[in-house]
Amino acid sequence: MTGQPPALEARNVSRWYGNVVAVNGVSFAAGPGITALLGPNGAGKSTLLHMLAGLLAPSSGEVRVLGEIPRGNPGIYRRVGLVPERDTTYGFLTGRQYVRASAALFGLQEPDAAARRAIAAVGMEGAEDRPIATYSKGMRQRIKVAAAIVHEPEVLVLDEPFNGTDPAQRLALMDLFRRMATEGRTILISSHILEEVERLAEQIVVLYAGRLAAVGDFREIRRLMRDRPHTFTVRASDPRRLAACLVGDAAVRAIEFADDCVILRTTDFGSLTRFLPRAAKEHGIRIYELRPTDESLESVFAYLVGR
Amino acid sequence: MNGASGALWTLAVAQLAGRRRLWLVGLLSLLPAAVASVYLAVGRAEPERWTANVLMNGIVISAVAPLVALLAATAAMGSEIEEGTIVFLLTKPVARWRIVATELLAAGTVAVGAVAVAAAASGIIATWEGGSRQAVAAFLVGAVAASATYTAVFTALAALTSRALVVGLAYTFIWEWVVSSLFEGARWFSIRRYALGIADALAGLPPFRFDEPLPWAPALLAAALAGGFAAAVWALERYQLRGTQ
Repeated sequence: MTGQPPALEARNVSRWYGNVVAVNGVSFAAGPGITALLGPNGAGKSTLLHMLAGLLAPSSGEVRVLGEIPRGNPGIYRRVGLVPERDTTYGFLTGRQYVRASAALFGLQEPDAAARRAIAAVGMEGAEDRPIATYSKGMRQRIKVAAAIVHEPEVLVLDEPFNGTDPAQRLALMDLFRRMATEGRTILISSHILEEVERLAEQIVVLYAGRLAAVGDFREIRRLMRDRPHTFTVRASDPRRLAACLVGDAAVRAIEFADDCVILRTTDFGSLTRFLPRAAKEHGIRIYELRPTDESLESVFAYLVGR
Repeated sequence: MNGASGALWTLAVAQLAGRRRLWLVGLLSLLPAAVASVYLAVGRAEPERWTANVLMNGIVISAVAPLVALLAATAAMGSEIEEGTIVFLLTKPVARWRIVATELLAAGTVAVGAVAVAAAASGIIATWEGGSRQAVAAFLVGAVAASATYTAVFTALAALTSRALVVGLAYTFIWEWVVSSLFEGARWFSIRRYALGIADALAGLPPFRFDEPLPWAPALLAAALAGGFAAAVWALERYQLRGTQ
Protein backbone atom coordinates (compact mmCIF):
# COMPACT_ATOMS: atom_id res chain seq x y z
CA MET A 1 0.00 0.00 0.00
CA THR A 2 1.25 3.46 -0.82
CA GLY A 3 -0.86 5.10 1.83
CA GLN A 4 -2.85 6.93 -0.81
CA PRO A 5 -6.52 7.42 0.03
CA PRO A 6 -8.99 5.36 -2.01
CA ALA A 7 -10.32 7.20 -5.05
CA LEU A 8 -13.89 6.85 -3.81
CA GLU A 9 -14.85 6.33 -0.23
CA ALA A 10 -18.07 6.36 1.79
CA ARG A 11 -17.69 6.36 5.55
CA ASN A 12 -20.83 5.36 7.40
CA VAL A 13 -22.77 7.71 5.19
CA SER A 14 -26.52 8.23 5.57
CA ARG A 15 -29.01 10.42 3.84
CA TRP A 16 -32.61 10.92 4.80
CA TYR A 17 -35.43 13.05 3.46
CA GLY A 18 -37.72 13.87 6.36
CA ASN A 19 -38.72 10.48 7.73
CA VAL A 20 -37.55 8.53 4.70
CA VAL A 21 -34.09 7.02 4.91
CA ALA A 22 -32.62 6.76 1.42
CA VAL A 23 -29.11 5.66 2.37
CA ASN A 24 -28.40 4.11 5.74
CA GLY A 25 -24.91 3.86 7.21
CA VAL A 26 -23.09 2.77 4.06
CA SER A 27 -19.32 2.32 4.03
CA PHE A 28 -17.27 1.17 1.10
CA ALA A 29 -14.18 2.13 -0.83
CA ALA A 30 -13.30 1.83 -4.50
CA GLY A 31 -9.95 2.15 -6.19
CA PRO A 32 -8.70 1.86 -9.75
CA GLY A 33 -10.81 -0.49 -11.85
CA ILE A 34 -14.52 -0.92 -12.24
CA THR A 35 -16.86 -1.09 -9.26
CA ALA A 36 -20.55 -1.75 -9.74
CA LEU A 37 -23.21 -0.42 -7.43
CA LEU A 38 -25.99 -2.97 -7.72
CA GLY A 39 -29.48 -2.77 -6.32
CA PRO A 40 -33.15 -2.64 -7.30
CA ASN A 41 -34.86 0.63 -8.12
CA GLY A 42 -35.28 2.75 -5.01
CA ALA A 43 -32.36 1.10 -3.20
CA GLY A 44 -30.58 4.44 -2.78
CA LYS A 45 -28.04 4.04 -5.57
CA SER A 46 -28.64 7.45 -7.11
CA THR A 47 -28.64 9.12 -3.70
CA LEU A 48 -25.28 7.54 -2.90
CA LEU A 49 -23.84 8.50 -6.29
CA HIS A 50 -25.08 12.07 -5.95
CA MET A 51 -23.37 12.33 -2.56
CA LEU A 52 -20.13 10.95 -4.04
CA ALA A 53 -20.43 13.46 -6.88
CA GLY A 54 -20.80 16.36 -4.44
CA LEU A 55 -24.33 17.16 -5.58
CA LEU A 56 -26.02 16.12 -2.35
CA ALA A 57 -24.97 16.67 1.25
CA PRO A 58 -24.90 13.54 3.44
CA SER A 59 -27.18 13.72 6.49
CA SER A 60 -24.45 12.01 8.49
CA GLY A 61 -21.11 10.37 7.80
CA GLU A 62 -18.94 11.55 4.94
CA VAL A 63 -17.84 10.76 1.44
CA ARG A 64 -14.43 11.41 0.00
CA VAL A 65 -13.27 11.59 -3.58
CA LEU A 66 -9.53 11.40 -4.16
CA GLY A 67 -9.15 12.16 -0.46
CA GLU A 68 -11.19 15.34 -0.63
CA ILE A 69 -14.73 16.21 0.39
CA PRO A 70 -16.51 16.82 -2.91
CA ARG A 71 -19.40 18.99 -1.63
CA GLY A 72 -18.77 22.69 -2.24
CA ASN A 73 -15.48 21.85 -3.92
CA PRO A 74 -15.91 22.52 -7.66
CA GLY A 75 -12.16 22.16 -8.23
CA ILE A 76 -12.54 18.40 -7.72
CA TYR A 77 -14.36 18.11 -11.06
CA ARG A 78 -11.09 18.66 -12.89
CA ARG A 79 -10.38 15.04 -11.90
CA VAL A 80 -13.91 13.63 -11.77
CA GLY A 81 -16.55 12.94 -14.40
CA LEU A 82 -20.24 12.33 -13.67
CA VAL A 83 -22.91 10.79 -15.90
CA PRO A 84 -26.19 11.31 -14.04
CA GLU A 85 -29.24 9.22 -14.82
CA ARG A 86 -31.27 12.31 -15.62
CA ASP A 87 -30.97 13.87 -19.05
CA THR A 88 -28.58 16.79 -18.62
CA THR A 89 -28.14 17.60 -22.28
CA TYR A 90 -29.16 20.76 -24.10
CA GLY A 91 -31.49 19.53 -26.84
CA PHE A 92 -30.76 22.50 -29.06
CA LEU A 93 -27.01 21.82 -29.18
CA THR A 94 -25.40 19.32 -31.51
CA GLY A 95 -23.51 16.48 -29.91
CA ARG A 96 -20.23 18.11 -30.86
CA GLN A 97 -21.22 21.51 -29.41
CA TYR A 98 -22.32 19.84 -26.18
CA VAL A 99 -19.09 17.89 -25.70
CA ARG A 100 -17.05 20.92 -26.73
CA ALA A 101 -18.87 23.10 -24.18
CA SER A 102 -18.07 20.47 -21.58
CA ALA A 103 -14.39 20.53 -22.57
CA ALA A 104 -14.30 24.33 -22.37
CA LEU A 105 -16.00 24.32 -18.96
CA PHE A 106 -13.40 21.83 -17.73
CA GLY A 107 -10.85 24.47 -18.73
CA LEU A 108 -9.13 22.35 -21.38
CA GLN A 109 -6.62 24.13 -23.60
CA GLU A 110 -7.77 22.46 -26.82
CA PRO A 111 -11.46 21.79 -26.39
CA ASP A 112 -12.06 20.94 -30.05
CA ALA A 113 -9.45 18.19 -30.15
CA ALA A 114 -10.57 16.83 -26.78
CA ALA A 115 -14.21 16.79 -27.92
CA ARG A 116 -13.27 14.94 -31.10
CA ARG A 117 -11.41 12.27 -29.10
CA ALA A 118 -14.26 11.80 -26.63
CA ILE A 119 -16.88 11.58 -29.38
CA ALA A 120 -14.78 8.95 -31.16
CA ALA A 121 -14.38 7.02 -27.90
CA VAL A 122 -18.16 6.58 -27.58
CA GLY A 123 -18.61 5.92 -31.29
CA MET A 124 -20.75 8.97 -32.04
CA GLU A 125 -18.76 10.34 -34.99
CA GLY A 126 -21.63 9.85 -37.43
CA ALA A 127 -24.20 11.83 -35.48
CA GLU A 128 -22.08 14.52 -33.85
CA ASP A 129 -23.45 17.38 -35.95
CA ARG A 130 -27.11 16.62 -35.34
CA PRO A 131 -29.03 18.39 -32.56
CA ILE A 132 -29.22 16.24 -29.44
CA ALA A 133 -33.02 16.67 -29.51
CA THR A 134 -33.03 14.24 -32.46
CA TYR A 135 -31.00 11.58 -30.62
CA SER A 136 -32.33 8.26 -29.34
CA LYS A 137 -32.02 7.50 -25.62
CA GLY A 138 -28.94 5.37 -26.25
CA MET A 139 -27.27 8.14 -28.25
CA ARG A 140 -28.01 10.64 -25.49
CA GLN A 141 -26.42 8.30 -22.98
CA ARG A 142 -23.31 8.03 -25.13
CA ILE A 143 -23.00 11.77 -25.69
CA LYS A 144 -23.39 12.28 -21.92
CA VAL A 145 -20.53 9.80 -21.40
CA ALA A 146 -18.43 11.65 -23.99
CA ALA A 147 -19.05 14.96 -22.17
CA ALA A 148 -18.06 13.35 -18.84
CA ILE A 149 -14.79 11.79 -20.09
CA VAL A 150 -13.65 14.65 -22.30
CA HIS A 151 -11.14 15.79 -19.66
CA GLU A 152 -9.87 12.23 -19.07
CA PRO A 153 -10.90 12.13 -15.41
CA GLU A 154 -9.25 9.90 -12.80
CA VAL A 155 -12.65 9.07 -11.38
CA LEU A 156 -15.77 8.41 -13.42
CA VAL A 157 -19.17 7.99 -11.78
CA LEU A 158 -22.05 6.71 -13.93
CA ASP A 159 -25.70 6.31 -12.91
CA GLU A 160 -27.37 3.54 -14.94
CA PRO A 161 -25.30 4.29 -18.06
CA PHE A 162 -26.69 1.33 -20.00
CA ASN A 163 -30.31 2.44 -19.72
CA GLY A 164 -31.79 2.82 -23.17
CA THR A 165 -28.73 1.48 -24.98
CA ASP A 166 -29.02 -1.41 -27.41
CA PRO A 167 -26.78 -4.49 -26.98
CA ALA A 168 -24.15 -3.32 -29.45
CA GLN A 169 -23.93 0.12 -27.84
CA ARG A 170 -23.75 -1.52 -24.44
CA LEU A 171 -20.82 -3.70 -25.47
CA ALA A 172 -19.02 -0.70 -26.96
CA LEU A 173 -19.50 1.30 -23.76
CA MET A 174 -18.30 -1.66 -21.69
CA ASP A 175 -15.16 -1.86 -23.82
CA LEU A 176 -14.58 1.84 -23.27
CA PHE A 177 -14.96 1.50 -19.49
CA ARG A 178 -12.62 -1.52 -19.43
CA ARG A 179 -10.04 0.41 -21.41
CA MET A 180 -10.29 3.35 -19.00
CA ALA A 181 -10.00 0.94 -16.06
CA THR A 182 -6.79 -0.56 -17.42
CA GLU A 183 -5.40 2.98 -17.58
CA GLY A 184 -5.75 3.06 -13.81
CA ARG A 185 -8.95 5.10 -13.57
CA THR A 186 -11.60 4.47 -10.96
CA ILE A 187 -15.02 3.80 -12.43
CA LEU A 188 -18.22 3.42 -10.44
CA ILE A 189 -21.28 2.20 -12.34
CA SER A 190 -24.75 1.80 -10.88
CA SER A 191 -27.16 -0.78 -12.23
CA HIS A 192 -30.19 -2.78 -11.18
CA ILE A 193 -29.24 -5.73 -13.38
CA LEU A 194 -26.59 -8.16 -12.15
CA GLU A 195 -26.00 -9.67 -15.59
CA GLU A 196 -25.22 -6.21 -16.91
CA VAL A 197 -22.30 -5.61 -14.60
CA GLU A 198 -21.09 -9.03 -13.51
CA ARG A 199 -18.72 -9.43 -16.43
CA LEU A 200 -17.61 -5.84 -16.16
CA ALA A 201 -16.91 -5.08 -12.54
CA GLU A 202 -14.12 -6.42 -10.40
CA GLN A 203 -16.00 -5.33 -7.33
CA ILE A 204 -19.74 -5.35 -6.78
CA VAL A 205 -21.34 -3.32 -4.02
CA VAL A 206 -24.91 -4.47 -3.40
CA LEU A 207 -27.32 -1.90 -2.00
CA TYR A 208 -30.83 -2.74 -0.84
CA ALA A 209 -33.30 -0.45 0.92
CA GLY A 210 -30.51 2.02 1.59
CA ARG A 211 -28.26 -0.51 3.29
CA LEU A 212 -25.09 -2.18 2.16
CA ALA A 213 -26.10 -5.80 1.48
CA ALA A 214 -22.85 -7.30 0.22
CA VAL A 215 -19.48 -6.41 -1.24
CA GLY A 216 -17.42 -8.75 -3.34
CA ASP A 217 -16.56 -9.90 -6.83
CA PHE A 218 -19.34 -11.33 -8.96
CA ARG A 219 -18.47 -14.93 -8.08
CA GLU A 220 -18.97 -14.15 -4.46
CA ILE A 221 -22.27 -12.36 -5.10
CA ARG A 222 -23.44 -15.26 -7.27
CA ARG A 223 -22.53 -17.75 -4.55
CA LEU A 224 -24.39 -15.74 -1.93
CA MET A 225 -27.43 -15.76 -4.16
CA ARG A 226 -27.24 -19.49 -4.90
CA ASP A 227 -26.71 -20.61 -1.34
CA ARG A 228 -29.53 -18.66 0.17
CA PRO A 229 -32.66 -20.59 1.21
CA HIS A 230 -35.15 -20.99 -1.62
CA THR A 231 -38.88 -20.96 -1.08
CA PHE A 232 -41.18 -23.14 -3.19
CA THR A 233 -44.91 -23.49 -3.43
CA VAL A 234 -46.10 -27.02 -4.13
CA ARG A 235 -49.66 -27.77 -5.18
CA ALA A 236 -50.48 -31.45 -4.67
CA SER A 237 -53.43 -33.83 -4.28
CA ASP A 238 -52.71 -34.43 -0.60
CA PRO A 239 -50.64 -31.56 0.73
CA ARG A 240 -50.54 -32.73 4.36
CA ARG A 241 -49.27 -36.18 3.52
CA LEU A 242 -46.71 -34.66 1.15
CA ALA A 243 -45.54 -32.37 3.92
CA ALA A 244 -45.11 -35.33 6.23
CA CYS A 245 -42.79 -36.92 3.66
CA LEU A 246 -40.85 -33.72 3.05
CA VAL A 247 -39.93 -33.53 6.71
CA GLY A 248 -37.58 -36.41 5.86
CA ASP A 249 -35.49 -34.22 3.55
CA ALA A 250 -32.64 -32.87 5.66
CA ALA A 251 -32.32 -29.74 3.52
CA VAL A 252 -35.91 -28.65 4.16
CA ARG A 253 -35.90 -25.91 6.76
CA ALA A 254 -39.55 -24.98 7.11
CA ILE A 255 -42.98 -26.14 5.97
CA GLU A 256 -46.15 -24.09 5.95
CA PHE A 257 -49.69 -24.59 4.64
CA ALA A 258 -51.70 -22.14 2.61
CA ASP A 259 -55.04 -23.11 0.99
CA ASP A 260 -54.26 -26.37 -0.78
CA CYS A 261 -50.54 -25.66 -1.11
CA VAL A 262 -47.42 -26.49 0.81
CA ILE A 263 -44.90 -23.68 1.09
CA LEU A 264 -41.46 -24.97 1.92
CA ARG A 265 -38.05 -23.49 2.45
CA THR A 266 -34.95 -25.43 1.58
CA THR A 267 -31.25 -24.67 1.55
CA ASP A 268 -30.52 -27.22 -1.14
CA PHE A 269 -32.50 -26.92 -4.30
CA GLY A 270 -30.82 -30.00 -5.85
CA SER A 271 -31.75 -32.30 -3.01
CA LEU A 272 -35.39 -31.17 -3.21
CA THR A 273 -35.65 -31.96 -6.91
CA ARG A 274 -34.47 -35.51 -6.22
CA PHE A 275 -36.49 -36.06 -3.05
CA LEU A 276 -39.85 -34.64 -4.09
CA PRO A 277 -40.72 -36.89 -7.08
CA ARG A 278 -39.56 -40.01 -5.23
CA ALA A 279 -41.68 -39.20 -2.18
CA ALA A 280 -44.70 -38.39 -4.34
CA LYS A 281 -44.44 -41.65 -6.24
CA GLU A 282 -43.97 -43.77 -3.12
CA HIS A 283 -47.07 -42.35 -1.43
CA GLY A 284 -49.24 -41.96 -4.50
CA ILE A 285 -49.48 -38.18 -4.26
CA ARG A 286 -50.03 -36.20 -7.43
CA ILE A 287 -48.00 -33.02 -7.80
CA TYR A 288 -49.79 -30.36 -9.86
CA GLU A 289 -47.35 -27.54 -9.56
CA LEU A 290 -43.90 -26.74 -8.17
CA ARG A 291 -43.12 -23.09 -8.29
CA PRO A 292 -40.34 -20.97 -6.80
CA THR A 293 -41.97 -18.09 -4.91
CA ASP A 294 -39.15 -15.67 -4.32
CA GLU A 295 -36.97 -15.64 -7.39
CA SER A 296 -37.28 -11.91 -7.94
CA LEU A 297 -34.12 -9.89 -7.62
CA GLU A 298 -35.89 -7.99 -4.85
CA SER A 299 -36.05 -11.06 -2.65
CA VAL A 300 -32.45 -11.91 -3.41
CA PHE A 301 -31.39 -8.48 -2.26
CA ALA A 302 -33.68 -8.65 0.75
CA TYR A 303 -32.08 -11.93 1.74
CA LEU A 304 -28.59 -10.49 1.43
CA VAL A 305 -29.50 -7.61 3.72
CA GLY A 306 -31.22 -9.79 6.29
CA ARG A 307 -28.36 -12.27 6.40
CA MET B 1 -13.05 36.01 -21.84
CA ASN B 2 -11.53 32.58 -21.33
CA GLY B 3 -12.93 29.31 -22.63
CA ALA B 4 -15.10 28.49 -19.66
CA SER B 5 -16.74 31.93 -19.50
CA GLY B 6 -17.36 31.87 -23.22
CA ALA B 7 -18.97 28.43 -23.01
CA LEU B 8 -21.14 29.53 -20.07
CA TRP B 9 -22.29 32.60 -21.96
CA THR B 10 -23.01 30.67 -25.17
CA LEU B 11 -25.07 28.09 -23.27
CA ALA B 12 -27.01 30.72 -21.32
CA VAL B 13 -27.84 32.77 -24.41
CA ALA B 14 -28.83 29.72 -26.47
CA GLN B 15 -30.96 28.40 -23.62
CA LEU B 16 -32.69 31.76 -23.29
CA ALA B 17 -33.16 32.30 -27.03
CA GLY B 18 -34.93 28.98 -27.38
CA ARG B 19 -37.66 29.81 -24.86
CA ARG B 20 -41.12 30.53 -26.20
CA ARG B 21 -41.84 32.89 -23.33
CA LEU B 22 -39.54 35.42 -24.98
CA TRP B 23 -42.50 36.24 -27.25
CA LEU B 24 -44.33 37.40 -24.16
CA VAL B 25 -41.36 39.58 -23.28
CA GLY B 26 -41.55 41.15 -26.72
CA LEU B 27 -45.29 41.75 -26.39
CA LEU B 28 -44.89 43.29 -22.94
CA SER B 29 -42.18 45.64 -24.20
CA LEU B 30 -44.55 46.95 -26.90
CA LEU B 31 -47.63 47.20 -24.70
CA PRO B 32 -46.86 50.66 -23.18
CA ALA B 33 -46.28 52.14 -26.65
CA ALA B 34 -49.68 50.83 -27.73
CA VAL B 35 -51.34 52.36 -24.67
CA ALA B 36 -49.52 55.67 -25.27
CA SER B 37 -50.72 55.70 -28.88
CA VAL B 38 -54.31 55.30 -27.74
CA TYR B 39 -53.78 58.12 -25.23
CA LEU B 40 -52.33 60.35 -27.94
CA ALA B 41 -55.30 59.63 -30.20
CA VAL B 42 -58.07 60.24 -27.66
CA GLY B 43 -57.05 61.91 -24.40
CA ARG B 44 -54.10 64.20 -24.38
CA ALA B 45 -55.06 65.92 -21.10
CA GLU B 46 -52.12 66.78 -18.86
CA PRO B 47 -49.50 64.79 -20.77
CA GLU B 48 -46.81 65.14 -18.08
CA ARG B 49 -49.04 63.94 -15.29
CA TRP B 50 -50.43 61.11 -17.39
CA THR B 51 -46.98 60.04 -18.56
CA ALA B 52 -45.61 60.01 -15.04
CA ASN B 53 -48.51 58.56 -13.09
CA VAL B 54 -50.24 56.25 -15.50
CA LEU B 55 -47.73 55.30 -18.16
CA MET B 56 -44.41 55.14 -16.32
CA ASN B 57 -45.43 54.42 -12.75
CA GLY B 58 -48.59 52.47 -13.51
CA ILE B 59 -47.49 50.42 -16.50
CA VAL B 60 -43.75 50.46 -17.24
CA ILE B 61 -42.26 50.36 -13.75
CA SER B 62 -45.08 48.54 -11.95
CA ALA B 63 -45.95 45.89 -14.53
CA VAL B 64 -43.57 45.63 -17.48
CA ALA B 65 -40.33 45.79 -15.48
CA PRO B 66 -41.14 43.02 -12.95
CA LEU B 67 -42.99 40.77 -15.42
CA VAL B 68 -40.29 40.96 -18.08
CA ALA B 69 -37.62 40.30 -15.46
CA LEU B 70 -39.59 37.35 -14.09
CA LEU B 71 -39.99 35.82 -17.55
CA ALA B 72 -36.30 36.34 -18.40
CA ALA B 73 -34.99 35.02 -15.07
CA THR B 74 -37.16 31.90 -15.15
CA ALA B 75 -36.16 31.35 -18.78
CA ALA B 76 -32.46 31.54 -17.92
CA MET B 77 -31.64 30.19 -14.44
CA GLY B 78 -35.10 28.64 -14.10
CA SER B 79 -34.73 26.57 -17.26
CA GLU B 80 -31.30 25.26 -16.26
CA ILE B 81 -32.78 23.93 -13.05
CA GLU B 82 -36.06 22.68 -14.54
CA GLU B 83 -34.36 20.88 -17.43
CA GLY B 84 -31.64 19.42 -15.23
CA THR B 85 -28.86 21.03 -17.26
CA ILE B 86 -27.75 22.81 -14.07
CA VAL B 87 -26.14 19.47 -13.13
CA PHE B 88 -24.04 19.70 -16.28
CA LEU B 89 -22.83 23.13 -15.16
CA LEU B 90 -22.41 22.27 -11.49
CA THR B 91 -20.16 19.28 -12.18
CA LYS B 92 -17.56 21.53 -13.77
CA PRO B 93 -14.65 23.26 -12.03
CA VAL B 94 -16.42 26.61 -12.34
CA ALA B 95 -17.15 28.89 -9.38
CA ARG B 96 -20.87 29.09 -8.65
CA TRP B 97 -20.88 32.88 -8.72
CA ARG B 98 -19.73 32.76 -12.33
CA ILE B 99 -22.68 30.56 -13.28
CA VAL B 100 -25.05 32.98 -11.54
CA ALA B 101 -23.35 36.03 -13.06
CA THR B 102 -23.71 34.56 -16.55
CA GLU B 103 -27.36 33.60 -16.16
CA LEU B 104 -28.06 37.00 -14.62
CA LEU B 105 -26.24 38.84 -17.39
CA ALA B 106 -28.13 36.92 -20.10
CA ALA B 107 -31.53 37.39 -18.47
CA GLY B 108 -30.71 40.99 -17.49
CA THR B 109 -29.78 41.90 -21.06
CA VAL B 110 -33.19 40.71 -22.25
CA ALA B 111 -35.10 42.39 -19.42
CA VAL B 112 -33.22 45.69 -19.56
CA GLY B 113 -33.52 45.80 -23.35
CA ALA B 114 -37.25 45.13 -23.24
CA VAL B 115 -37.89 47.70 -20.53
CA ALA B 116 -35.72 50.33 -22.23
CA VAL B 117 -37.73 49.85 -25.43
CA ALA B 118 -40.98 50.00 -23.47
CA ALA B 119 -40.06 53.20 -21.58
CA ALA B 120 -38.44 55.06 -24.49
CA ALA B 121 -41.01 54.24 -27.17
CA SER B 122 -44.07 54.87 -25.01
CA GLY B 123 -42.56 58.00 -23.44
CA ILE B 124 -41.77 59.55 -26.80
CA ILE B 125 -45.26 58.80 -28.11
CA ALA B 126 -47.01 60.13 -25.00
CA THR B 127 -45.08 63.41 -25.06
CA TRP B 128 -45.32 63.80 -28.82
CA GLU B 129 -47.42 66.93 -28.59
CA GLY B 130 -45.79 68.39 -25.51
CA GLY B 131 -44.45 67.30 -22.15
CA SER B 132 -41.07 66.86 -20.57
CA ARG B 133 -38.68 64.55 -22.38
CA GLN B 134 -36.38 64.94 -19.42
CA ALA B 135 -38.98 63.25 -17.27
CA VAL B 136 -39.19 60.43 -19.81
CA ALA B 137 -35.42 60.00 -19.64
CA ALA B 138 -35.58 59.98 -15.85
CA PHE B 139 -38.22 57.27 -15.85
CA LEU B 140 -36.21 55.33 -18.42
CA VAL B 141 -33.25 55.24 -16.05
CA GLY B 142 -35.47 54.25 -13.13
CA ALA B 143 -37.21 51.53 -15.15
CA VAL B 144 -33.96 50.06 -16.45
CA ALA B 145 -32.48 50.01 -12.93
CA ALA B 146 -35.65 48.36 -11.64
CA SER B 147 -35.61 45.67 -14.33
CA ALA B 148 -31.96 44.80 -13.61
CA THR B 149 -32.72 44.53 -9.89
CA TYR B 150 -35.89 42.53 -10.45
CA THR B 151 -33.87 40.15 -12.64
CA ALA B 152 -31.37 39.57 -9.84
CA VAL B 153 -34.12 38.95 -7.28
CA PHE B 154 -36.02 36.61 -9.59
CA THR B 155 -32.84 34.76 -10.55
CA ALA B 156 -32.37 34.05 -6.85
CA LEU B 157 -36.00 32.95 -6.67
CA ALA B 158 -35.49 30.61 -9.64
CA ALA B 159 -32.46 29.10 -7.92
CA LEU B 160 -34.36 28.69 -4.65
CA THR B 161 -37.69 27.26 -5.77
CA SER B 162 -39.18 25.43 -8.72
CA ARG B 163 -42.27 27.61 -8.35
CA ALA B 164 -40.41 30.85 -9.10
CA LEU B 165 -43.01 31.99 -11.63
CA VAL B 166 -45.91 31.74 -9.20
CA VAL B 167 -43.97 33.12 -6.23
CA GLY B 168 -42.62 35.97 -8.39
CA LEU B 169 -46.11 36.89 -9.60
CA ALA B 170 -47.47 36.80 -6.06
CA TYR B 171 -44.61 39.00 -4.86
CA THR B 172 -45.21 41.49 -7.66
CA PHE B 173 -48.97 41.71 -7.11
CA ILE B 174 -49.10 41.57 -3.36
CA TRP B 175 -45.95 43.29 -2.24
CA GLU B 176 -44.99 45.69 -5.03
CA TRP B 177 -48.51 46.71 -6.01
CA VAL B 178 -50.69 46.47 -2.94
CA VAL B 179 -48.53 46.63 0.18
CA SER B 180 -46.01 49.21 -1.04
CA SER B 181 -48.90 51.49 -2.12
CA LEU B 182 -50.92 51.10 1.06
CA PHE B 183 -48.18 51.49 3.63
CA GLU B 184 -45.68 54.30 3.30
CA GLY B 185 -43.12 52.47 5.41
CA ALA B 186 -43.02 49.62 2.90
CA ARG B 187 -41.48 51.91 0.29
CA TRP B 188 -38.13 51.29 1.91
CA PHE B 189 -38.42 47.67 0.78
CA SER B 190 -39.95 48.07 -2.66
CA ILE B 191 -37.99 47.90 -5.91
CA ARG B 192 -40.79 49.81 -7.61
CA ARG B 193 -40.48 52.63 -5.10
CA TYR B 194 -36.67 52.68 -5.44
CA ALA B 195 -37.09 53.11 -9.20
CA LEU B 196 -39.62 55.89 -8.72
CA GLY B 197 -37.25 57.50 -6.24
CA ILE B 198 -34.50 57.52 -8.84
CA ALA B 199 -36.80 58.97 -11.50
CA ASP B 200 -38.00 61.57 -9.01
CA ALA B 201 -34.46 62.63 -8.13
CA LEU B 202 -33.41 62.91 -11.78
CA ALA B 203 -36.27 65.13 -12.89
CA GLY B 204 -38.28 67.68 -10.98
CA LEU B 205 -41.65 66.11 -11.58
CA PRO B 206 -45.19 67.26 -10.97
CA PRO B 207 -46.72 65.87 -7.80
CA PHE B 208 -47.34 62.14 -7.74
CA ARG B 209 -49.23 59.79 -5.58
CA PHE B 210 -45.81 58.81 -4.20
CA ASP B 211 -45.15 62.26 -2.80
CA GLU B 212 -42.89 61.07 -0.03
CA PRO B 213 -39.33 61.38 -1.36
CA LEU B 214 -37.12 58.34 -1.03
CA PRO B 215 -33.52 59.21 -0.25
CA TRP B 216 -30.78 56.71 -0.98
CA ALA B 217 -32.88 55.09 -3.72
CA PRO B 218 -29.87 54.22 -5.95
CA ALA B 219 -28.00 52.70 -3.01
CA LEU B 220 -31.06 50.72 -1.90
CA LEU B 221 -31.58 49.48 -5.44
CA ALA B 222 -27.93 48.45 -5.73
CA ALA B 223 -28.19 46.65 -2.40
CA ALA B 224 -31.26 44.74 -3.59
CA LEU B 225 -29.43 43.76 -6.77
CA ALA B 226 -26.38 42.59 -4.83
CA GLY B 227 -28.63 40.77 -2.38
CA GLY B 228 -30.40 38.93 -5.20
CA PHE B 229 -27.09 37.94 -6.73
CA ALA B 230 -25.70 36.72 -3.40
CA ALA B 231 -28.87 34.75 -2.64
CA ALA B 232 -28.69 33.05 -6.04
CA VAL B 233 -25.06 32.05 -5.44
CA TRP B 234 -26.00 30.82 -1.97
CA ALA B 235 -28.86 28.73 -3.40
CA LEU B 236 -26.68 27.22 -6.11
CA GLU B 237 -23.97 26.28 -3.62
CA ARG B 238 -26.62 24.44 -1.63
CA TYR B 239 -28.30 22.88 -4.63
CA GLN B 240 -29.28 19.26 -3.88
CA LEU B 241 -29.78 16.70 -6.61
CA ARG B 242 -32.50 14.40 -5.36
CA GLY B 243 -32.77 10.81 -6.54
CA THR B 244 -35.06 9.98 -9.43
CA GLN B 245 -37.51 7.92 -7.39
